[in-house]
Amino acid sequence: MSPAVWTMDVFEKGNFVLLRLTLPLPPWPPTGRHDRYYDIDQILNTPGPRTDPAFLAGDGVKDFLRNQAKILVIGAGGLGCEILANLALTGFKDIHVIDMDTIDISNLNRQFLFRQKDVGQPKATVAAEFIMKRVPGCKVTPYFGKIQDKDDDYYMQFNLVICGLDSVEARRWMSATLVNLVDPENPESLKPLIDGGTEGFKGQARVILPTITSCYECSLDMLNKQTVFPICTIANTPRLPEHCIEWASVLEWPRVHGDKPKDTDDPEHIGWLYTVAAARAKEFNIEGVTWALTQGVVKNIIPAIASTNAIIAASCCNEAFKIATSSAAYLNNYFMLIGTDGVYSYTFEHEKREDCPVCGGESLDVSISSELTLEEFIDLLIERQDIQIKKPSLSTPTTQLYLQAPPQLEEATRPNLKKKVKELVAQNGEVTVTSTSLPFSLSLRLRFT
Amino acid sequence: MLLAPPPETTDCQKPYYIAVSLNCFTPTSHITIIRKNSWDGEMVGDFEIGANSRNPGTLCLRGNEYPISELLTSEFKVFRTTWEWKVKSFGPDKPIMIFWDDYGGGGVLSIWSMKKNEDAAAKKKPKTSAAQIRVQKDLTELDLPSTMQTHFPDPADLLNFTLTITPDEGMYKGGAFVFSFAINTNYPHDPPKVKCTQTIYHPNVDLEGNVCLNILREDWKPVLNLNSVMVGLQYLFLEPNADDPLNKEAAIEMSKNREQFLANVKSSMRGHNIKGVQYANVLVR
Repeated sequence: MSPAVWTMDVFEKGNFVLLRLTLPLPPWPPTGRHDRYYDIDQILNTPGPRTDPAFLAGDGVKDFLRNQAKILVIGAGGLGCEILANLALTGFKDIHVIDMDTIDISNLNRQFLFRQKDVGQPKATVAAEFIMKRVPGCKVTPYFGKIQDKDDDYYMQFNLVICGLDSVEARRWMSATLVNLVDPENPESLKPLIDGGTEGFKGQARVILPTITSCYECSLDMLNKQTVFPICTIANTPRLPEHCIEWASVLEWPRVHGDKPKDTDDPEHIGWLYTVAAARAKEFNIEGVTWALTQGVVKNIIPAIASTNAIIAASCCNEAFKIATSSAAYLNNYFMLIGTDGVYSYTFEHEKREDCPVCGGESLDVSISSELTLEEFIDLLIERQDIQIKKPSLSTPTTQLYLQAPPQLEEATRPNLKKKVKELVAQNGEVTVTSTSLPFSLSLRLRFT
Repeated sequence: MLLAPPPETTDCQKPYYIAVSLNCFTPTSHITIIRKNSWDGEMVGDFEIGANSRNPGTLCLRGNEYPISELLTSEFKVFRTTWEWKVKSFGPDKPIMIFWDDYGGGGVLSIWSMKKNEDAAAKKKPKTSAAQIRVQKDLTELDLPSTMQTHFPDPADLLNFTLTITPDEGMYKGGAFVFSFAINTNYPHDPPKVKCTQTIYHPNVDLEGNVCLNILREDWKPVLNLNSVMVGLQYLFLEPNADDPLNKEAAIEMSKNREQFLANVKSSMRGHNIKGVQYANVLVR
């Protein structure tokens, strides 16, 4: 019989001091069918012939999943609710969630963590409370705000990030942030990003290993184009209710309100647009301008289908589980689902782009003398054989150091040439170099000696 | 596979040579042999790991075979399992660790010493955004004819500027037309916002300065750049397009009564009033 507790022997052998740990065998069957993790444990207790060699079946991986893994969910909307529920039920116990939105009555048809009484409350907070109540032992930490509010140290604490977002901008930001977080000297800094997205019956799930596989920015040109109507159609020949709404929003709003920004979350603003659009629709005998459509068009709301969200969120969470446990090979790296014409799905490896502004391009550590002027530094760059650069333009994240063109900017930055680089860039500061001879850009980190 | 210290290490040791082969008697098991200095150099040790982790494999060091768990402890991590010597006799504050990194295809074995992370905090930096780099690239690589000039009210702000077009041929010759460009942080996913800052008489520009140019809206693609937009704008002055009107009256005039249209263009450019609309004087002074 195996001992019920860990035992440890210490003995010497030659130059070695050996510690022998004897571990109790895991009970089999684990704890019976009534155990919350009985089914999941079937996977985690035994390796299969094709599981990753790093997969350590048994208590180690369960301990990691349930006591150590910290996972961040971005978005607590349609996808977010599904993701949170799936993660909690597969055994992740330390979940953080960020969402900047509050609950709207129109969310209730699919965002099942919310009830009518929650309307107006922050999504992140309500979702976190619901999950914690439903899945005891699972800790969900909400943050009601923007992902941009958080710094690198915040993102560094997680093992994995899952995005269920509806905005390209937020995805680009998240992907770029995680790519920048990667420090080649610290393997912990590589945070896998799982991104889900849906649009009606279509959806996609992808796994991004920042700097290793293609990032979100690499695939920017693959995005479906938003429906944008030609401005002349909107102005002259409206045929659809959407044309009338766009007319109110794109042409009439700035004409009447000047520079006053349009807030698409302000019911008064939507009301104004609706009235103006409806009047125009009447003039052109167009039917179908409604409050909901007005809101949909100006906020660019894409119809969300609960079941598509469920499919995509489930695929994302399965990948999160596999990555966190190594219990099976994970998605490499792009899964798309097209349900608009029968059901078609395709999984492929989206390739990294060499000229990707976020993860492509070279990154170099350069040591230079504190005495070097910017002009001398630029000459030094041009002379370097390994980067083959012509007419470089340089900037830091906050200022332009020297731009080759247009003439006005060249003139404005020319005085910097005579200055010492050290006066312009901080120690370990980042300098971005662009040039026609580079695929996109080159990132330098400067050290002064 | 070669195992060598990171290149910047000062007290470099000779590399280790590592070969992995199948145990021909137990095909589910692999034997890894580590030698020093060359492929047939001094053997440091070998270990055998089977696919079935219930039999955890052995590690053979200088002829002494031990179960792996006796010599190494493991800690499970996403993507990598860290094996650490149980005997930390490599220096009190610098235990050597062996990582088997299993992401990104083939295994990479590397040695990390614990002093990492020291200056990790110092390395964290604000990062130039993709939009910002792209605008810098677009602007510094503009290839504009002498009829177009950019102006930056604040040279430190690359996202807001104006473009002056002074056509040297066509019906708008002699005028200077000023467009404002506003680029948001979602560029190049979003097109730049372009408006004419003057009240001009043009079929494709309305009195509020909105411009009807396909690549500014429905045909915008991230592969297009500021140069394409600027060239497109200039083209509107060489070939106004009456089929996609924004100023409907001007468009009708252009297709029905070209003489009158040309006269209207000339007089609007001088800042005259046409049918109750006061146009801006855009003549080059």
